Amino acid sequence: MLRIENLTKKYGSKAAVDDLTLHIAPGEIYGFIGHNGAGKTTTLRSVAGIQQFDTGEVFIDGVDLKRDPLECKRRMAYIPDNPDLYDYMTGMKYLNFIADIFGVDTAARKERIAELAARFELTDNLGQPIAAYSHGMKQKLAVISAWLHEPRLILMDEPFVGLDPKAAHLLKEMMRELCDRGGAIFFSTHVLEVAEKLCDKVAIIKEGRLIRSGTMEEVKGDDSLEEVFLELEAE
Amino acid sequence: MLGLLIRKQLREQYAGWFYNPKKNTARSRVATAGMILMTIVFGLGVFGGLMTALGLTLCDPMEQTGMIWLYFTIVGAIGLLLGVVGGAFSAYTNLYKGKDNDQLLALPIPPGDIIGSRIISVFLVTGMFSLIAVLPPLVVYWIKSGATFKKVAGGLLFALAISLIALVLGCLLGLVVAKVSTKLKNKSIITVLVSLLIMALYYVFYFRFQMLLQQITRDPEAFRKLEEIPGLKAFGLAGTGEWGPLLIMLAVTAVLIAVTLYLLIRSFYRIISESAQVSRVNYKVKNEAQKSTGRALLGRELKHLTSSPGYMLNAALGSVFLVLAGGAVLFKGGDLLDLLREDGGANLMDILTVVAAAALGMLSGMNTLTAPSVSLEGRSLWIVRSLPVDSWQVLKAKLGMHLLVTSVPTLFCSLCLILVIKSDIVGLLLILIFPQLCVLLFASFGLMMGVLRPNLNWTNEMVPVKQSLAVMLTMFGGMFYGVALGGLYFLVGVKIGATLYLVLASVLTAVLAVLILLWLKNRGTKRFEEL
Repeated sequence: MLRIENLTKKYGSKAAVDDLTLHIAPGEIYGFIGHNGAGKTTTLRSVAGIQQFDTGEVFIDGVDLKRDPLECKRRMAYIPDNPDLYDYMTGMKYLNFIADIFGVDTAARKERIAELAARFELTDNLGQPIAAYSHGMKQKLAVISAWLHEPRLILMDEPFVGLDPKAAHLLKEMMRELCDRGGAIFFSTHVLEVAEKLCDKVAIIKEGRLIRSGTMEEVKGDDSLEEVFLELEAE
Repeated sequence: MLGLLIRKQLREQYAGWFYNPKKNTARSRVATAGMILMTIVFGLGVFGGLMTALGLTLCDPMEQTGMIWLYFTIVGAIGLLLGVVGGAFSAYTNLYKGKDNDQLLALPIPPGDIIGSRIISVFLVTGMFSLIAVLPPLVVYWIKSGATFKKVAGGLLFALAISLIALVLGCLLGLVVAKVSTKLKNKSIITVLVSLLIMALYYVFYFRFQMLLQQITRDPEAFRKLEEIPGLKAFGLAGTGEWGPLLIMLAVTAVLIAVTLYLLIRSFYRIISESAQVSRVNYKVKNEAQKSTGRALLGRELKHLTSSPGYMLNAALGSVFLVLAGGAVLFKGGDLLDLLREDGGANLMDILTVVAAAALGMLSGMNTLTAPSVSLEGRSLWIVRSLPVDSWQVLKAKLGMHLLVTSVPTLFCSLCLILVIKSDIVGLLLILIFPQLCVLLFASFGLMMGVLRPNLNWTNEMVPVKQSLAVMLTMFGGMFYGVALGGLYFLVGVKIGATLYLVLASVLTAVLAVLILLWLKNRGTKRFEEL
């Protein structure tokens, strides 16, 4: 579903991501962990087609991101760590805007918005301007907008920050549902317990370089993910 | 604390001077000095040049006839007008709509310091316009009548007082708008209407004053009447350095500032809290028709525009003037045309056609919607970058918004002119086509500036809308183009005839617009993707 080959992104002379290779198969929830500034967001933004990278290749569902970025973007969705949405729109206007861009027809969008908003208990707030939303409400709206066009791959940067426990639980359920339908999730998180319970595979990045990746068992063995992570960070 | 906040405000407001978005690095000191110098040269060169010309025309005759106080009254009034017009529309947003409101209020900072730093930000706009209007005629006066300590010191204090009074008027307008808008549902539209109403009243007062001045030149009795208007003569005499009137003016200014500061500080916290509250809207499920990508992107741009009073007032005011101009042409144009026909030569209609088309084209250049539109994406830029839309579609939507908001009133004004002027078919076509080509050129030029000089890290929307390098370059670029075409007319146009000249100017405008559009489609989209 997602193939990252030798991805390198430099800011000046410093490599934020250095020769990163990762493969994510359909049905996998892939966790991406690392300390602040390790290169997680840069990787996710590069894969999402938001920022250009220097060398390497990225394939989404077999499509080359550099050759056909629009087709790649049609097949995926991205949720940033801090969802700065359009404050001047209402929640409903924003969702309709996203649906228009992805060509979701009237009946389908009506049904999906109603279902997703109800699940996140956001229906009553959809008429409000986004400027009036709390951080958690914006995060919920960003999640709904990401799921709206039924993407094959979802990239998420710290998706649980700001969500209440109920919404966080729901999001985990939705992530699993999407993967059970053959989709894939690639997300960064600092909450190692969540990663440990939720992810099929995990990758640890340090100073832009991948230092360990694989199934949860391969990465952590008999230890906890936290112990492994702290040990690797200390090296 | 106030100093810290002012430094933060200045850093943000003039980020373009210190930061190179292309290289993502800080500018060198030399480059920063160069940027500041360029801004000053542009500002002084355009507005300062006009005011110097006014000073050179009026100073000598007015001093010789004992009317020098009136010279300073006129200069002061223009300084106030420019300052208020330049700053008032952004005062509300600058004072109250910072995105860092919560962050600053959560810190142990007295609200007085927050509003104080924002008043400085308003002053940098109102003060700059006022000083550019007042200082050149002041220098002309010093040169013509001999510079003494009294004249120089008094004149500088007069200029400072004018800029401070403009600041007070701008801030009070901002306060009125804030008070009104906290109690309303359709805040954006009402804010625009209230601002336009206050501005209209100011213009009425200003034009009455201008008419009075014209009367004076014909009727000495009117001059005596003018002298009798309380405070008017003293206001003008302050500019000459007369200590009595000057001290009164400074005292009045000080009182106005104190009262304004008191009102602003007292109400700041409440206004910020009330404006953050949003009346509850219960969502009702309804079918939203599916739109094409292009229409969705255009709708997004229009939604942004109509939700921001500051954006509308500063970047789309030309549309209001175009409609007003069209109305004025319909109702008064015929009378004016009859007057001109009495004195006009054989080619009067040709010249009128050229003047009308050119004036309309330049008036449409008042709209600077595309110039700040890239910067206004701000921290939400990730959305369009992550969606399956190519960058050219995004830029086209920005152009589309400008064209829609500007072309329609321009067309209305063209039709009004056609109804009144009744030129030949070529002339009529030129009145229709040349202004539309100008609209296209200014829209694409503004967008090019927006792509080349973006500022995505603002905490107040007025920074990209009003104080960005992109907007300044677009405005001056439009003015320069108008002046250049006007100058070329006297060099070439008089020889080849007005109509042919306008045809050639139309072709040139179209070619320039196409070249810029091609740049936007190719290099512009790449630059946009690198942001």
